[in-house]
Amino acid sequence: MKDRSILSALYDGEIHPPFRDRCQEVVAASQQLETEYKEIERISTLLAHGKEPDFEAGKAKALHTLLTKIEEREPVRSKPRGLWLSWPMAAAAALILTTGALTAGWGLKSSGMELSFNSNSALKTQDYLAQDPQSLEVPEIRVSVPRKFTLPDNSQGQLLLSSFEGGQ
Amino acid sequence: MNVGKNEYFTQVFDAHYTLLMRVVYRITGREDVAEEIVQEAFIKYYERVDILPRDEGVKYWLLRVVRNLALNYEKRRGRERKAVEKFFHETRTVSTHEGESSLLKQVAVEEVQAALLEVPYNLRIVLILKEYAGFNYQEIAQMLGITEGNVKVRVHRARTQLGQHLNKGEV
Repeated sequence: MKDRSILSALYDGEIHPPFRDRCQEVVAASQQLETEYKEIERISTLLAHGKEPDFEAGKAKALHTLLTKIEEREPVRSKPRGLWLSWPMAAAAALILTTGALTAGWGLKSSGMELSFNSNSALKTQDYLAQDPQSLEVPEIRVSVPRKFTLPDNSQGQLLLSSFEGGQ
Repeated sequence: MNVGKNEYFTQVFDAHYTLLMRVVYRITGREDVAEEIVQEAFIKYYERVDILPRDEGVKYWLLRVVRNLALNYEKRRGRERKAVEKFFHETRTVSTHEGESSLLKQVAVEEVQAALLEVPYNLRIVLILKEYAGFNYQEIAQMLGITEGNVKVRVHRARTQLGQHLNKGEV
């Protein structure tokens, strides 16, 4: 028997019937193996008889201590994230924003006159402008338009844009 | 504390406390340290009780936690022991007293627990789980993330080494 760990497995009942019987025969036939098997048995017995505190007796006290500790503890908060965590997130956010901005700019440039306005909104804006200009409080609205952007030949669009300009 | 959660937690504590204490006590050899580690494991469990599945897996989860905590303790102990050895070595070199050198030898194997502590951690944990927690090779393998064959080899090596330490200490 080259692999002596089989002796431990045999002792622990980890070898299953067909092979177990064969192993037991081999061990019984060899003085050396039998001695080694008995040594395993001796060690295991020593371990089993080793003194051990009565853990069961201290259980109630341990539970009380534990529950007190838990109550004393503050609720778990998420740990503050250090630079090592925040910079990849910041980089990812920057990348997404840059990509978005570039795509939007390119979209506006390439689409030419495709910018359209909702007619309902335009009408509402007209009604709004029809009121006394002195009584109006026009909110400040800033619109970024690409340099090459030209206004469509669309009066509603013109009107809306002029309303934006008027508000500035 | 949430009453339902607290009740379930108490049940888990009741069911596994003794086993965990036995295992950690055998790993560390100290009841106070075992108590501390087991308490820490249960606190970790309490913090995750809502997200962990409520089944037999709890036992294995707790055992993995105490194993890791005990391993940390073991590493710390190793560093301290080295520092103590260094201190005694230096003292002996300076004072040329031979008496101190025997002190560390006296601390060595006098009983089974002491001999067990001499067995390397990766072998000891397997033997403890087998002998004191009553797990079979398959369960130990699953818990430690190793193969059953590896468990078999480690159990045998642990016993062999333990036997050598016991014989050395004439237990």
